[in-house]
Amino acid sequence: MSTPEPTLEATGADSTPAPTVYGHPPVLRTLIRRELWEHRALWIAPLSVAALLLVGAIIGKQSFDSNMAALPEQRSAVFGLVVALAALPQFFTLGLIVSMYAADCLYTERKDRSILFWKSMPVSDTLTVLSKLLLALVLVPLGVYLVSAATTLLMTGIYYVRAADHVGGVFWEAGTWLRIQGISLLAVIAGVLWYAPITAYLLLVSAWARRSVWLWVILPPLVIAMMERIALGTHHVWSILMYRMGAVFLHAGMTPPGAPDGASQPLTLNMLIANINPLPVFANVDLWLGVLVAALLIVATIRIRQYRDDT
Amino acid sequence: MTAVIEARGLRKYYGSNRALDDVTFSVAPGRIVGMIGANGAGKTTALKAILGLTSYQGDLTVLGRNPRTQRDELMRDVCFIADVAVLSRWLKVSQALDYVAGVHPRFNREHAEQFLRKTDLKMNSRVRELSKGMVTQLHLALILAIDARLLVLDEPTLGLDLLYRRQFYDTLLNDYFDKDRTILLTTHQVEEIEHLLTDVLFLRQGRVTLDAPVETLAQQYVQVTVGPDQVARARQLHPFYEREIFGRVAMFFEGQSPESLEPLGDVRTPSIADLFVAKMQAA
Repeated sequence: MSTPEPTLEATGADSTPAPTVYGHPPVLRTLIRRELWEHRALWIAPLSVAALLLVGAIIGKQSFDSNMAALPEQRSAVFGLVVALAALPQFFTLGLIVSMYAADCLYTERKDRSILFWKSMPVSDTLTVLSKLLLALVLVPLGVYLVSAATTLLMTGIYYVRAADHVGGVFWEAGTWLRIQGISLLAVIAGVLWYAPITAYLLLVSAWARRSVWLWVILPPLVIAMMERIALGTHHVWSILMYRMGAVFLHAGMTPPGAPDGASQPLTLNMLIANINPLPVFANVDLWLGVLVAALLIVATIRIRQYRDDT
Repeated sequence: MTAVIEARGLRKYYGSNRALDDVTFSVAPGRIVGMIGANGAGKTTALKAILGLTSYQGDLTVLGRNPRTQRDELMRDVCFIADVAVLSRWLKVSQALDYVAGVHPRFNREHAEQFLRKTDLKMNSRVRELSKGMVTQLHLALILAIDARLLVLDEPTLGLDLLYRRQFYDTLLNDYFDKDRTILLTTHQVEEIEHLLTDVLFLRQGRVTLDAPVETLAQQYVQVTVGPDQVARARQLHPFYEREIFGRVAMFFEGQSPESLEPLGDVRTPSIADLFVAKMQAA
């Protein structure tokens, strides 16, 4: 978009386009809106999950017995548990909708041939692919995070009201809530970056496959891993895949330092919250290597959208 | 004036199939060019090359740009309707307007809405709820509201009934076309558009077999309908194609003056449709 427009009438060395009465439409914003029109699951799914959680919090059977929250630490742990458990389905949904979206977004436009319409507009393939990437890696995760934060706020608020008559008194801990939200945000960022090569790979297959995108997503890595196994007897590819597919936190030292043996007591979660530190994730070289791979895959995806012609 | 489209030695092979085989032509501004050819003659491939949608060999310049590497810039000045029904089924009429308004610097939303008010289209209907004719109306409304210099239409009225087809071309001529604009179109319904063409370009198996302004066709081609008694005499003048109609023979001549053929029978300029058939069959 930044290259100067070559004008037919050579007016000299001035490289700025001829003055025009036409405005500069908000292209990127429009592309984002367009994605949300087509892929409504991107916003409907997280809102539905939030609604379900809230309905559950309102009508769900809840026993606020006195011994559940007798000690302050226990109350804190229960509170933390509620907040963390409320966030989990949201982040699971996030992974699901982003994967589905990435695998779908460059495929359906070719399947229904609407790509001929989108390509009749002055929008570069680079910007098109980047708008989809922006949604998958930034806007949707951010949106889900905010929905999740609001949900936990509302849920704990509901529990606070419902437990008001019971023994245990105040049931809301701003410090714990904030800490968990902070951790969640860092975890979302780490997760997005850790899984970025997978997202980019899904976009690539979406731009390339003629049909059955998911088959093409799964088959090549599987076949390569099997061939390696048969030909060399090793399983490096498989290990790399499993390493990347696994939860980022297992590789990133996010486990609580020095968790005591027999940690099945209710205070474990509390300790976890207190000790958790997501920052080392960002010091993991593999995270950034993955981001580099993702960038290369995105360049390839742009090329494919530019040159693929199967309409 | 600079040509709108300049193609030299355009080639495109799909395996051994030659979709475009050394195609050379140029389109001047303000013309309405009909690209006419049988199925698989290379029309769509040629249009796709012009629109930067497919790779090719050879030289091709559209409005001074390379369509392959500058498609997004080119599309500020070029519009196309590739085929009917390429609008996404989930798209709402209002969203289609929002989208084009949001990405195209030369889109006049007021024009598009004006056009749509004359149709039965509702702002909140989705493409999947519309008939084929209505989808084309929507696409046309979007395209006509863009101040473009070249409009490319590939079988724009395919599958539409006669009313929609007539309306489509009438709108195109009355509301859109002017001397600064150029239209390049393909269609199978040659009869319906031949009165609006200024130039014809015949393609046969990836090659250009005729490239001429319509007004010169009368000097180049003559159709004589010959009675049975004159057939032998007429054949000595080497018609390139003949066709029997109700016992008389329609003969097509190239490079003969109408006056010299007058004694043989009814002389007239062949219609583009007839000329196309004659050219294709003769080859």
